[in-house]
Amino acid sequence: MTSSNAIAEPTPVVDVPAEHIPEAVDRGPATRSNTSPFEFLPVGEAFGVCDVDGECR
Amino acid sequence: MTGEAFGQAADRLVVDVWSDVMCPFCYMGDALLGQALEKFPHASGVEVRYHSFLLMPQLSDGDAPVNAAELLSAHHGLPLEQARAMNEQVTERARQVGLDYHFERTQAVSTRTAHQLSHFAATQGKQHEMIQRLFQAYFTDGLNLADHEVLAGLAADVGLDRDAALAALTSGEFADGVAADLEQARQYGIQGVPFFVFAGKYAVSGAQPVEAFLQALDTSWNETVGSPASAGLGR
Repeated sequence: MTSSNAIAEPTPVVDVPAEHIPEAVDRGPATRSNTSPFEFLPVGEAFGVCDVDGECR
Repeated sequence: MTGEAFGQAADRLVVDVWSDVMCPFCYMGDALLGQALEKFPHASGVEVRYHSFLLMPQLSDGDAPVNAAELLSAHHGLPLEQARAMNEQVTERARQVGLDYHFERTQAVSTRTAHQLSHFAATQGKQHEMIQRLFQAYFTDGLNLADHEVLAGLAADVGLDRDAALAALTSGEFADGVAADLEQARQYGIQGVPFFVFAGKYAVSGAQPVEAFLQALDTSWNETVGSPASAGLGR
């Protein structure tokens, strides 16, 4: 695994509507942006995600 | 910024990761992606790039360090004991991944400068090692990641030139690179981290089990580097 600092070009695929993803630590669902240029892959229960307000769930 | 900015790689699968070094699930996500790559047969053809994100953008470089539980309690109006209990749940999650969290030691600070160190390390081909060391420094060692001397020492830990790292942080040479990452995240509508983008196309939000990352790697590999069309181009 290597690393660098560039950003791969996004390929707009679908306009993903806002939706809820599974909670991980009993803090309620997180939301996804409906402006994302990316296609969200179906995944199971996430370990967790931290929001921009510093809240992790 | 360095490398192939705004260009998909033709000969390898690029995974772009937005994260913050003070984000507990980012550390887990990095570990889980690493475990997935250990099982992925084409791992040598995968390049992972790390981008900056600020979980607590309201923290300033001059702010005194605050314990993570106290910050969580104050920021969300929670009783301190509840904040500590939440952190204990996260610590248990981390333990399941093989990581050793000590929230009681954590010093929450602005991570802007730490992100600059990640960008500096990227120019030396050591970004992943640097990111891992920064995570460990925050969650396990309880170090102050806003302190330039501490950060320079961490750079040396991963084999980078301590004085060069310190000079880069002092000059703010990579501040623009961090700002560009933050702006890119805003444009992409990224509201939480870790956030993974495979081949500039598929997104995964949050730390995922190894199997989910493997599926994402398989899907994106088969549609890019491993596709018949790609093979036909002699890649």
